[in-house]
Amino acid sequence: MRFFLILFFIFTLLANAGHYELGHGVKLHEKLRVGGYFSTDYEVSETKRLARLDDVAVLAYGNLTPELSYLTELEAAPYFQRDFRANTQAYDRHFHKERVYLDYQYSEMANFRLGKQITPIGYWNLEPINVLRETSSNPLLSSKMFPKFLTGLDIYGYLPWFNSVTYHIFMQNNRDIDKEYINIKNEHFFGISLENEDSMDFQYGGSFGEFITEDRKRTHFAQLNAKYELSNLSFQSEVALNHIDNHVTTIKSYKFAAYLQSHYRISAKHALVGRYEYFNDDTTNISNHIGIFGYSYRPIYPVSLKAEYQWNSDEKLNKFITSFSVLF
Amino acid sequence: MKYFFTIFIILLIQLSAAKYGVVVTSQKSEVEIPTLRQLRDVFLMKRHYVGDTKVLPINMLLASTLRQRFEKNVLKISRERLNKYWIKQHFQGISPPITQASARSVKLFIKNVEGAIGYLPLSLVDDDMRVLYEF
Repeated sequence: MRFFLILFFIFTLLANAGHYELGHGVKLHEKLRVGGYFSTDYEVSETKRLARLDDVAVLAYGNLTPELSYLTELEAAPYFQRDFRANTQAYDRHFHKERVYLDYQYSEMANFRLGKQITPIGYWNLEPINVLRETSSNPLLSSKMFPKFLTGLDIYGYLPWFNSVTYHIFMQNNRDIDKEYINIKNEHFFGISLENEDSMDFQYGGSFGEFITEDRKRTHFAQLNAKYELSNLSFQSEVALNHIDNHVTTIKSYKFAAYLQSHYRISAKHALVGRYEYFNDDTTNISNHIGIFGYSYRPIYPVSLKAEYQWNSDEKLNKFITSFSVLF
Repeated sequence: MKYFFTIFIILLIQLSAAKYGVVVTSQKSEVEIPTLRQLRDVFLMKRHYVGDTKVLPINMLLASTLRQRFEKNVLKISRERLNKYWIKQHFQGISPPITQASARSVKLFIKNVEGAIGYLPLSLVDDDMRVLYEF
């Protein structure tokens, strides 16, 4: 019911917005633009037949002064899910604080973002929502290697003397604003990332840092990323390595994850996508090769209908996923 | 005959001047001359300062031929890709530059708002404006 109320609220806003273009939000005031998104998916594997209303989110942002801006995003995920094989269903209708921050633009070289924000690492992590991705699924690298969110301070800008290089120095020394809504619970997180935009078509970068999880494991991470875009064909790749130091058991271990994704645009609306992933975790002794082949249809860019098949080295994990998502 | 030929040449020069665009700021503005990359970053809202000066980019309406020329020669990006870019930026909480309905209103905006940068046909540039880039 709440979902339909949110949809009703969004459509009412859009209907009153005059000139509105899907995917660009609605400007309600000089200092307020609102938007939202949702995604639904259906997954079939040997063990599951799962239908989900996965993400339901609203976001609001704007400039308070020429230098100071804000963004807030509330999300419920998975809002509703039903497993037809196990005959179970679950809800999470609590809207979590996904992002709440203030941005202060001080200069070309130093800007400040304070609050809960997406960790500025790589590409996938910065565009995590279904509608902006080219596949319904996420690579394991995006959820297993570093906290997706940071509740702290990010200092960022252009490096002096390097016109095309941006940097981020980010730090957290407290718990997450919404502790239940983060992939890796931690109270200490520090990192540096660099990105070189060689051109609009070719970018590369990397990051390193450390975080301490609630169960007192100190993890050092290093990560590299690159993407290349031709007119119809694009490639994107990320690699990450974790060194985990368990303070309780004093055992040291490694975790490694990588993916390479290519995306071929057949026409303005139709595209094919392929991804190869590798994930290895010493601690749990999990090692998995994953191959994905998918199709994407976008009648317009902010509306996405996707289908993919996933082959895993553990065949029990093979699955078919299809999804539908919209950005308002 | 000579008279008509001269008028024809003048008209031709004016027509070509109308198609010729320049990125300008106010003479009073302290904005340094940006590189092409800086200019592109400013209009893509990636960069908010040029040197020590806070800048405010102004766009013309989507249908404007000068805007199309600006996107092609300065941003070097197709309309389709630009639309995709702004949809992704919406999720990041970033909106495109504000727009003005005509070249004359862009000019007025630049004269009155500190740090404003916009593009105009060369024919509209006067002594109160400083040219930062020609395209």
